[in-house]
Amino acid sequence: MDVPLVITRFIHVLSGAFWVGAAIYLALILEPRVRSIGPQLEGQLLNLTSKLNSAWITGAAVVTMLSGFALVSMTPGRSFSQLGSNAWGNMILTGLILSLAAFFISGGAGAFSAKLRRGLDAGNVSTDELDRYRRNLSRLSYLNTVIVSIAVATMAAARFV
Amino acid sequence: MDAEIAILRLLHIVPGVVWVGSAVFFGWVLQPALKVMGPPHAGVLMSNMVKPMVMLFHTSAWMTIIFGVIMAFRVRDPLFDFLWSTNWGTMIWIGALLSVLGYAVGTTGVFTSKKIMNLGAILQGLPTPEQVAEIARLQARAMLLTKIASVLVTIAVVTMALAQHV
Repeated sequence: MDVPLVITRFIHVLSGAFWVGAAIYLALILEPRVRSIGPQLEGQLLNLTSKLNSAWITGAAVVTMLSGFALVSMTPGRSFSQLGSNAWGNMILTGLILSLAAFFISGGAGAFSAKLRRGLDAGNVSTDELDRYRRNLSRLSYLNTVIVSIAVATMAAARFV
Repeated sequence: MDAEIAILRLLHIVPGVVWVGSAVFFGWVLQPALKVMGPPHAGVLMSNMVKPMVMLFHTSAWMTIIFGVIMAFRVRDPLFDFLWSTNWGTMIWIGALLSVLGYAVGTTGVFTSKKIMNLGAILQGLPTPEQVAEIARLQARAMLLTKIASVLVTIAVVTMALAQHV
């Protein structure tokens, strides 16, 4: 048994599962429900959870990508030179590009979440502006959910194409 | 390309990731934050959130388990010979057992949360000290069960992901 490979795969799977699961949970369950309970509670909840969510999800995303790079170089018979040059490499490269896209989209969603939180706290931002933040936050969260799901699917199927 | 295995793998892994990731996020990030927030806001959010959350957990768990079983039968034939006589098989049955246990414990946690909501629904005015104590006891139980379930399904996913390497 290749212990470093097993440990790296363990870290990659664990952090990846957390990243994707948390992103989907946030977009499909938490954000719509937080929005439906009214602006006052929404502000309080965002104050308590948005920084925490961003820290955990960003951390998991970084660990997933770094351990993924390590896995490519550590896996017997695989290397970075295969990215884009064979079926496995195409799938992994696609997954990697999608993961990076999801990471930046998630950052955009985090920025709108922070704007919304600050706007609700300050109380001097118009309702239209707050609604615009909410819409953008929703769109980016849903887009992020779709992209990370495709990224996982692409990487999970890479060995079989 | 083995299209059947690739599709089965997607139908097993994507819901599995959703199940495990959302269970860990709920158990270790969101639930402690809601505890800090306390009543009445945490209660309002939880009662609003519990139905879609339970749907997400059940759907992803059932899809993961069903497609996992189908895939196991497709990749190893006869499966039961491999399950008891190879390292791969040992990792797979341990993972399967842990995931079913995790699902059962998580479902018990959901029932406990529903009990809390039922208690909240029948409250008229301020709760009595006994009711406060009962709600606190049930909340602590629900949190513990959610954490245990998330740990069990996490170990299950890691066990299965590592099966081919042992």
